Amino acid sequence: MNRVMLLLKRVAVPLLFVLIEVVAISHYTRATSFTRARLLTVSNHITGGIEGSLRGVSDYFGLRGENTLLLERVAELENKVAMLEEATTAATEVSLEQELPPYVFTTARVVKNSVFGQHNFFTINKGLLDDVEGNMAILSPEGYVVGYTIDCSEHFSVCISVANKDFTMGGKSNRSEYMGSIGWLGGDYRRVQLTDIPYYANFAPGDTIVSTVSYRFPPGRIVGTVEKFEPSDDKMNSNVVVRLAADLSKLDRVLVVKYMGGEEFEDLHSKY
Amino acid sequence: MMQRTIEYILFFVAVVLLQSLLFDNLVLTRYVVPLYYVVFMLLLPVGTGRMALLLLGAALGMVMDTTMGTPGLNVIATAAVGFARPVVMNISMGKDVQHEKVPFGGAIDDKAFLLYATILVALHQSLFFGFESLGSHFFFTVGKIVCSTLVTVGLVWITAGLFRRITH
Repeated sequence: MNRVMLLLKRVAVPLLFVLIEVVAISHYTRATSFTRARLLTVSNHITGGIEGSLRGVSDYFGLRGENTLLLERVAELENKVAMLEEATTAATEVSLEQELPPYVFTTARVVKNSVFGQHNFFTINKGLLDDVEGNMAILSPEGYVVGYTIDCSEHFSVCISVANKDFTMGGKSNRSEYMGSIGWLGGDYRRVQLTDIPYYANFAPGDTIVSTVSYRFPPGRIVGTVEKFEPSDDKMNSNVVVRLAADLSKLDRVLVVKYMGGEEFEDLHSKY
Repeated sequence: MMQRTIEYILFFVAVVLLQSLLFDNLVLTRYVVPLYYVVFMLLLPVGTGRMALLLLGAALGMVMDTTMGTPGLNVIATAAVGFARPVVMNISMGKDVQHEKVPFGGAIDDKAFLLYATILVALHQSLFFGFESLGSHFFFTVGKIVCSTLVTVGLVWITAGLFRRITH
C-alpha cells in the first residue's frame, strides 16, 4: 500500500503537468477571435481604469503635437466643406453613395493596443453606453482603416486590428473595379495581402487600395498602397502586398463609424 | 515565513501589472516582446515544492491569458517553466543552492544564476512564440525568441539584483 502511495506521489506532478498542458493546448488551438476578445473585455474591467488614468498623464505631454494635427485636420475639413458647398449647388445627379444610409462618426481613444502578436486587438474607451456595438469600423484620424469592434462592455470595446489573422474586409484599387479580400498573414504588422484579384487586373506599385461597400466600412476609405504585385500559386489570381496607410503601433485617437443600415442588413441576412 | 508569503503575493501583483501596463504596451521592435512576468517563477524560494511550482505557473499563466487575450497560451509556457524549474536549478546551480533560501542568494555564482535564468526564459519564450505562430514565419519566430529571451534575461538580472539589495 505504501509503495502505491509513493508511486502515486511521484507521478502526481508529471501527470498533472501533462493534463494542464493538454487542456491549455486544446483550449488555445480551438480559440476564435471572439473568445480572445471576450478575455480582453474581462480584463478591461480591471485594468481599463488604470490604463485610462495613465493615458491622462501622457496626454498632457502630447498636447502640442495633437494641436498641430487637429489644426491640419480642421483646415482639411474646411477645404472639403467649401468644395462640397460648391458641388451641392451645381449638383445635377445623385450618386450611389448618397442613396445609401449614412454613416455616423464618433471619436474614441485607444487604451490598449498590441501589434506584435498573431491575433492583435486594441481596446477603445467607448462601449455600449456610448452607443458603440459590434461590427463598427474603426478609422485613424486621417480616415485610414485600422479595424472594427468585435466585443463591447459598458465602457470599453475590444476591436480586431487589421493586423489580426482573423481580420477580413473587401478592398479594391482606386484605379479599377476589381475587388478582392484583404487579410493578414502574420509577421509584419505594417503589411497586409489583397487576394482573389484576377491575374489580368492591372495593378501597379503605388496604387491606393480602398475599402469596398460593406456593412462595416464606409466605401472608399484608404487601407494602404500597393507595394508588390505577384501571381498566386495557381496563376489564376494575383496576390497584392499592401503597405498599410495607418501606423497601427501608434494608435491613439480613432474614429468609430456606425453604419445606420447595419441592423436592417443583419436582420435580412439572418433569414438565410 | 508569513512575511515572505506576503512579499511574494505583492511581487505577483506587481509583476502582472508591470507586464500588462508596461511591457505589453511597449513598442520597441517586432523582434523584442519581453514576457517579463516569468521572473516571478524564477525568483520563487528554493524550497518551493514541485506541485506548488506547477500550480503557481498555471495560475500565473491564466491571469496573463486574461490580460493578453490569449486563451491557454501563457498557461502552456508558464506551467512548463514551473515543471522544469527544479531540474534546471539542479543542472545550473548544483549543490550551492541548498545553502540558500532564494535562487538569487549570495552563495550562488552569477554565471550559474544567468544559466538558470537563460534556460528557463528561453523555454518560456520558445513555447509562447512557437505556439503563437503555430509553425508559420519560422525564421522570424526564431529571431523573436532569441531577441526577447536576451532582453527578458536582462530584466530578470536587474530584478534579482534589486531583490538582493533589498534583502541584504
